[in-house]
Order: sequence, then structure tokens, then C-alpha cells
Amino acid sequence: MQDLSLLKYETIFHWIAVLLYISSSILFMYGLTFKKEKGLNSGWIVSLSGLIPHSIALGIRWFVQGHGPYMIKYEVLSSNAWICIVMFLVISRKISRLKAAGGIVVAVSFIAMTAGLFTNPDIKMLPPSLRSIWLLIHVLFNKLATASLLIAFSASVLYLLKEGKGEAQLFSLSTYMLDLYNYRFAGIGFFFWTITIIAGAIWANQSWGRYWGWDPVETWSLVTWLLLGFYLHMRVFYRWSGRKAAWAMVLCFSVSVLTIFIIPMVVESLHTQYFQ
Amino acid sequence: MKKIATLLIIVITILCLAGAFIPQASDKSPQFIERWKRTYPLSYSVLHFLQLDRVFSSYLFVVSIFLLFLVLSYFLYLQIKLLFKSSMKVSLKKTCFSLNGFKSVRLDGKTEVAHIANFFRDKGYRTVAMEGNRILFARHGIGKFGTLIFHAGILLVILGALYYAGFHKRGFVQLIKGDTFSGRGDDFLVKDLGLFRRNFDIDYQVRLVDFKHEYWGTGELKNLSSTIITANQEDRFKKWVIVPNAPLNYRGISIYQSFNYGYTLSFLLKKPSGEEVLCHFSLDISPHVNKPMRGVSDYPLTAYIFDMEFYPDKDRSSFYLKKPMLKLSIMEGNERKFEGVMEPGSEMEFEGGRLKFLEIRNWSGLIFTLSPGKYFFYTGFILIIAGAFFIYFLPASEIICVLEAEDGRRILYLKGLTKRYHALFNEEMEGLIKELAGRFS
Ligand code: HEM
Repeated sequence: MQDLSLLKYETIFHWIAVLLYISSSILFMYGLTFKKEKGLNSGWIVSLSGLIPHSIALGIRWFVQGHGPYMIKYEVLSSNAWICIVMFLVISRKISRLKAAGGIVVAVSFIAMTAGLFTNPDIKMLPPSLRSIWLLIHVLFNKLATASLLIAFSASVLYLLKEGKGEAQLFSLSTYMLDLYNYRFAGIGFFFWTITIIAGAIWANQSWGRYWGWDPVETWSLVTWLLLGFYLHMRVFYRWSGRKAAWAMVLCFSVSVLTIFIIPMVVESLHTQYFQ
Repeated sequence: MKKIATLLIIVITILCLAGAFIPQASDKSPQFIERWKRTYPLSYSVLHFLQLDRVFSSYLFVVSIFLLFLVLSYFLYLQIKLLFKSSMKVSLKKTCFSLNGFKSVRLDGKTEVAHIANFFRDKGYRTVAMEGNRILFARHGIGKFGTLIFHAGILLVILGALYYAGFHKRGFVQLIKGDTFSGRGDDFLVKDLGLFRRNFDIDYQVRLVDFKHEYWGTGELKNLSSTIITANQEDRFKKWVIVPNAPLNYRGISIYQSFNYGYTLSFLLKKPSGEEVLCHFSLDISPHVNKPMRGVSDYPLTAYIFDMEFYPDKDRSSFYLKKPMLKLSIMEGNERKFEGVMEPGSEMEFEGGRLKFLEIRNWSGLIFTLSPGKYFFYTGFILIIAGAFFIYFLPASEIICVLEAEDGRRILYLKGLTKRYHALFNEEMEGLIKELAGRFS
């Protein structure tokens, strides 16, 4: 473990990032509400500039504690927010019209980071069970799954908003495309979630000598995966789209949040070890 | 089949939710179950009758998984049958060919089929078939196999799980430093056997020669290691070190370092009759350095109950044996026979006999497993990941082109087909048409 006094800089950078993300969310909301492309572009640039102090804050913590930010609530929330914002920025750079999703992605991310500020930020060292490459894969893909599902969720919420207001209102992205992005990112999220579960099973076998133990978080993770599978089937089997699909995605995302953040806090689980 | 598949996914999801909400006998203590029975007898008996207090081994769950397996097998059979029949290839050969639903673009009169093929090749499309002026292009052909590969992976994992459920063996021992585990199934402290297994005997013995537990400065566990010697029937001795996440595989059995460990307190009780009873109490290490390790247990062959509170270091600053101290209370029925502090090596008069606190040793938890189905699991995992990747990252698409001559110009008719992301594909088609018009006009 390195010099703990460095952590005070982490807090400063963390706060700067939160403030920039708040500003970025406001700009995105303005762009969405008043159909101003400029608002969306400025929101995108401000969130990119928020990513710099955010990365420095996470880097400092990583350096000081000697392991990645995946042990305590404070760092789990912050690193999840980081991955969500990175994924959003990369994707919306390629698919410019997805900038509209920034209003929700960045807002949810800064809410997660702010929630982290109310938790204990004290460093927790890695227990031996968590020193495995499979843990890294498991955690990384879970964060990527969260980010993809958050984008799908944002597309669904925007769909519902736009459908309520009428196609000509609010932002320019059509409901047709929003439905497509809901599907696209739900599929990508499903893929990442699949790897999360598989890496977790391989790691459990390496650590405890069994692939699956019906630990509460394991069970909830399977429920999330099955729910996503159900939703994707419905799209193919019964041509679910539009409003129905948007609500289904909102449900899938809510269950994934429950699995990742809420269940480890309320029940005794192997996963509580790294979400304390 | 769509309905059955949907229903099965819903039933399995609901059963998993039941397992998440209803306390499961496998993870609760017998005392908890007893309390539940007493406090809510009706809810307990209904849930117990429906096997919802052990959902994951209930008939309903096992039957649902088995049905999933059957339905998936049938689905895969149908998919394989259908797989190589490409409706487009067939339609390309038709003599009367309808251009209904095709988009068209006017091109330069010198445009040849080969130019079109080159154009699409540059865009990542492969020429699948060519019949005169008709060409079929395809991209991400592997994407078509995505669902088949993905579901085949699920099928293999289920097969592996069924095989595992029938034939696995798992046993836990608390091995005291210097002691030997006989390898006999009956000597495991806890055993978990597959449906078709009767016992778990190992053809070698295991002796714990050393055990280390290390901590970070913050008091959290840093590492564990057990040094063991295995001895088999041919009297071959081998020394091994087992650490977490790196099981030892020896003679078909994997041995894992468990995260359960602690100290064993040994006593010798000399009864007034002169009979001596030796006993070892293995206590779990406490999660915090300032908290004692606790244990309440019968003393064998006597009516005494030992209630122990043990500190490896009475200054409460270390998990190691620095200044060990035991707070001991001995009961016989409701009567307290002794209460006081003992140190290792100390001896005292007790009920007309003598009680000696002999020694303190480390114990280490070792898990022995035989996990069949590995190849099913890993092949299944690879197929599931590959299949999901093909489905969502490489969506298959096909474009059929017909090049016709008209008034000295050429007209290219195009029609695209894809299963996923139609809006994006339509946009791509429009882009291609624009580019074709620009390049060949
Ligand atoms: C009862 C067994 C099952 C049957 C019969 C079944 C059948 C099908 C069928 C017919 C398709 C559409 C294939 C196509 O048109 O390309 C499909 C797609 C799919 N299935 Fe299943 N399935 C089963 C179980 C599962 C399970 C347990 C999962 C995982 C949760 C799952 C996940 C998927 C996914 C992700 C897709 C692709 C959906 C898409 O195109 O976006 N399936 N399944």
C-alpha cells in the first residue's frame, strides 16, 4: 500500500468530476428538451472533460491500494460510472445521434458517484479469494454489461418520453431508431452479462471447487440473464418492439441494478465481501 | 415450440426468484429452520410440501431443467435440418424471377456484373452465388449460425450440470497441523455426493505439516497456505503446498485450500476412575483481531459442555499465538462446574480428576472434489460466448443484385435481407445505393 495522504487528491478530483458531470447532464437535458444540437454537443464535451479528473481519481486509488477499484461501494460505484461514461462517449462519437442518450447515461453515472460519496471510502485490501484473473474478467465484463444496459435503458426511456410527447417534439432521434438502439444494446449487454456469469463460474470453481453455489447474488445474476433472454426472445418470437419492448428493457435494467448494487447490500452473500 | 420455450424460461426464472426470496434449507442453520417451523407453521409446511425451501433440488426445478434440455435438443435438431437451406440461393436459380420489393439504381451502360462484385467485396460482402446477371452477396455469414451455436452451448452446460449432479463428490476436512487424514469417506467432516454416488474414498492419506495465515496491515486476510504430504498405497510420499485459487490435482482428485481455518485446542481429562479422554476443539478464526474465537461443544464420553472464548493474543493485536488465553466455562446440565482462564500447558483439579490444556495447533480446511462434466462445461462456455458474439456483433445480411440493360444504360436492382437491426441495415442499403450511383454513373 502506498502513501495514504494521496487519497485527499483523489477526493478533490472525484468532486471535480462530479461537478463536471452535473454540468454536462444539464447541457444534455437542455439539448434534449429544446431540440438543440449545440446543447448535446456541449454536454458531450463537458462529460469528456469530466472523464479526465475522474480517471485521475480512480488512478490514484488504484495506485495507493495496489488493486483495481472493485472492492468497496465507493470505488465500485465510481468505476461503474466511469465505464458507463467511457462507453457512452466512444459510442456516441461513432454514432452521433446517440448523444441524446447522454442526458440519462451521464445523469445516472453522476448519481451513482454521488451516492458513493455517502459511503465509507476507506481502502480495503484484497482477500486471497479475490486474487484471480477470472475475478478481473468477471468484474470488467459486469461493468461493460452495466454500461450497455444503461444505454439500452436510456434509449427506452427516451422512446417512452418521445412517444408520449409526439414524434415532432423534443430531440430529433426518431422512436424507430430508439427502439433499434434499445434492442442493439440489450443484445450487447446480454453478451457481456453472459461472459460475467461464465467468468464468475470458472473463478468459483478455481476458488471453492464448484461452478455454482446458488449464492443470492449468483441467483439474481441468473434471473437477470434469464429476463434479458426472455426479452430478446419476445422480440424475435412475438415481434415485441416499441412501447412494450421499452418497458421490458426498463424492467431488465432495474433488475440488473438490483443484482449488482442492492442485493449485495441487503443479503449475506459471497459477493458482500467486495461490496462493503 | 415458441410457447413452450417462453413458458420454460418464465418458470425457471420464477423458481430462481423463489430460491432468492424463500430461505433455503441448504444455507440456513438447523436452529433457523426450527424457529421458522415454530413461528410460522403454516407457511413452513406449505413451502416445505411444495419443496420451495429447497427449490434448486426440487422435482419442479429438476424437471423444468430437464424439459429445457429436451426442448433445446429438439430446437437444435430442427435448426440443423434447416441450416443449409438458403432460400435466397434457391430463388436465384428460378427462371421466372420477380423483382417485387427490389430497389433500383441507374448506372453507366458499361457497368458489368464483375464491377458490382468488386464494389460489394470492398464493402465486406462475399459473393455467394452468381447466375448470369444475378448475384447474391453475404456478410457475416457466421452470424446465421449464432443462435444454433449459442443454444448448443446452453445444451452442453445443462448436460454438464446433470452429469455433475449425478456423479460429483465433495468432502471437507478440518486437518490439524501434524495430523493425518485417512482418505476414508467416513472421516470427512462434511460430504456432498452426487445422486448416484455412495461414498467418497480417496486412495491416499494426507498429512498437514504446516499451515500459514498472513494478514495485511489493516488486519484483513492476505494469504493462506497449507503444506501437506500425500502418501499412497505404494508408499510414495509427496510434499505439496496448497494456496487459494490454485488447487492441487492429484490422482484424479482436486484439493482446495478452504477459507475456513483456525486453532485447535487440545485437552486431556483424567476422570476420577483414572480413565483418560483426549479431545480436540477446532475453533474458527475470528473475522476481527479484537474479537475472540468462540465455541460451545460437548466433551466426548462425559456430560460436560465446554463453552470457550479464545484469544490467540490476549492483547488483541494479533491473529498469531502470541499470548494465548482461553476463557473457559464448563457446564454439566444447568450447573456450572468451572469458570476461569486457562493457558496452554496448564493443568487443574477438576471434579475429582484432572483437566489439562495440552496444546494449541493450527487447523486448515481442505476441500476434496471430484467434479465431472468439465469438458461439457468448458465447451459449452466457449459455444455460448461465441454464439452470443455472432448473434449480436456479426448480424448476418444478404443482398441480392440483378443487373439489367435498358436503353443503353444499366439498372441495378437490389434487395437486402437481414434478421436483426433492420433500420440500420436499411440505412446501410441506402448509403450503398447512393455510392453505387455516384461511382458508376
Ligand atoms: C427452451 C429452450 C429454448 C428454445 C426452444 C429457444 C429457441 C429460440 C429460437 C427459435 C430463437 C430464434 C432464432 C432465430 O430466429 O434466429 C432463439 C433466439 C435466442 N435465444 Fe433461445 N431458446 C431457448 C432457450 C433459451 C435460453 C435459456 C436463453 C438464454 C437466456 C436463450 C437466449 C436466446 C437469445 C439471446 C436469442 C437471440 C435473440 C435475438 O435474435 O435477439 N434461449 N431461441
